[in-house]
Amino acid sequence: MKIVAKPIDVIATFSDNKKPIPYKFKFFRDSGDKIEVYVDKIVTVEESKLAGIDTLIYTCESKVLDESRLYQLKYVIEQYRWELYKI
Amino acid sequence: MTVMHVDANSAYLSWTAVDLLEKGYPLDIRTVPAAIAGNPEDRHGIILAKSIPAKKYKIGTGESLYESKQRCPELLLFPPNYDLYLSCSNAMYSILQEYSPVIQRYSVDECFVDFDHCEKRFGRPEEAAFEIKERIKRELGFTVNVGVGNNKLLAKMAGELKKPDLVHTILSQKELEEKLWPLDVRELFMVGRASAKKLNKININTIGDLACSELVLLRSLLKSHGQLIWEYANGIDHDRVTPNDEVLQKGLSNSMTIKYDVTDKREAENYLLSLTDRVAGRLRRHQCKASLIGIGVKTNGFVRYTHQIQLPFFTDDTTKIYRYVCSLFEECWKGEPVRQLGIRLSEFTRKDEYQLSVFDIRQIEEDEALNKVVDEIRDRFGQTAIYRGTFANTDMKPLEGGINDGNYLMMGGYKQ
Repeated sequence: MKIVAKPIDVIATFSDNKKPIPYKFKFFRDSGDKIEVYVDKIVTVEESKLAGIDTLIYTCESKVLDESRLYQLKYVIEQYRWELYKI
Repeated sequence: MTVMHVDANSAYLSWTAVDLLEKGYPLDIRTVPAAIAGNPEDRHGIILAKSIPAKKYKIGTGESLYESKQRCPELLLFPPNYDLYLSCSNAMYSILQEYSPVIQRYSVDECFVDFDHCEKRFGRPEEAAFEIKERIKRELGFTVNVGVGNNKLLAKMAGELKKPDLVHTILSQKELEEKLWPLDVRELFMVGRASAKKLNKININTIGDLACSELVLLRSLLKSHGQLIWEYANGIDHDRVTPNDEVLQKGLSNSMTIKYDVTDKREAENYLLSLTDRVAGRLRRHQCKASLIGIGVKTNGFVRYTHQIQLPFFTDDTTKIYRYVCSLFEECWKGEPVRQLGIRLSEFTRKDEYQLSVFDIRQIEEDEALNKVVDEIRDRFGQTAIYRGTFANTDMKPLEGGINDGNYLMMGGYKQ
């Protein structure tokens, strides 16, 4: 997987005392195409503190364009921001 | 006593590198000639930190961008991000807190850790040091050097031995003689350019030479400083690791380099007012009053002069300090274009321990109440929530001086 760090729009569920669970996200490719992805499976969730920035890293699996892909989403806690971290 | 000195390797640069990599930047800037530098348009164009490959081009911290670009045209430059640096520093500090309750933040990128009484829990100090180093690398993404010594001085000197990403120890006289004594005397903490020059003249070239020389000779040459560096060369230092809030501060100062050369007196006074507001606010936060006020002026020709006044009373009132600052400026300024201005306060007393005067006690109380309200408003709603009318509708900032608008950790670990 390679770092892409692309900002994405996410629909996530927030439950009591639990980490947010991403449900679906969308982003625009460089060509301008809109891509929407449902998060089919969350494989792992890890807390990271790289460069002193608190983040949650989700390793997920989804079907993108009829192909099963593994990728990572990142939630930057202090900035309430999601990004497509690695793909 | 066992002390550890934890120091981030090329701190600003490696912190920026980690952040850039996380944002998908294709290159690790630690592996190419790169530097963090201020904005030349604001006349802050100096190198703040450089990568190890940049060191090979003899690029030094503090030199101008023009000089370094000439030496290495392909040098990559990045602006500083002080919020990031503070968050990296805080993260490093919170890891260290797991190892010892007594930590001194010596600056934004270095800490002293008192490791006494911690061996039972964490094992031998060198093992713990290695663990700390590895944890910081794994969890925070940057490398540190850890020096382990019998006191702060030896820990710091050990940490400086070879970089990056290493643990060094100086725990015995033998290690001191083997590792420290062959080094150039300039490498010793507290030996600067001027002292080194004097020492070289009497054929003291290494730290070992200094340690073995006669104390009387050094005292006659460098006075009490001679004794200090002789003790340091012999590994003697009785300073304890003191948590920052217990360190007694002796002076406060703020300065600023102005974007253009100021020639107008009124304008210069406005800059001085914004500096006074900052420094007096800091003084009040420290619960102190000062009796010595000094100003520093640097002209466009890089000539720097200072002027100070000892007051017969103590004060922490912005307006009162500003009045003296203005009269000092008027006395020493000869009308040349001004590049940099600075204000310094010292000779402190505690806020509740000063001599009252019969004549202006009412005035003092009124001023104190006003300052208190201003400080409280600023604490609650931001530093620029309330400021003086003279700054309204101008480009000038109402509070000047300090890095990142005062939200930063300075040398010595003081919060501004």
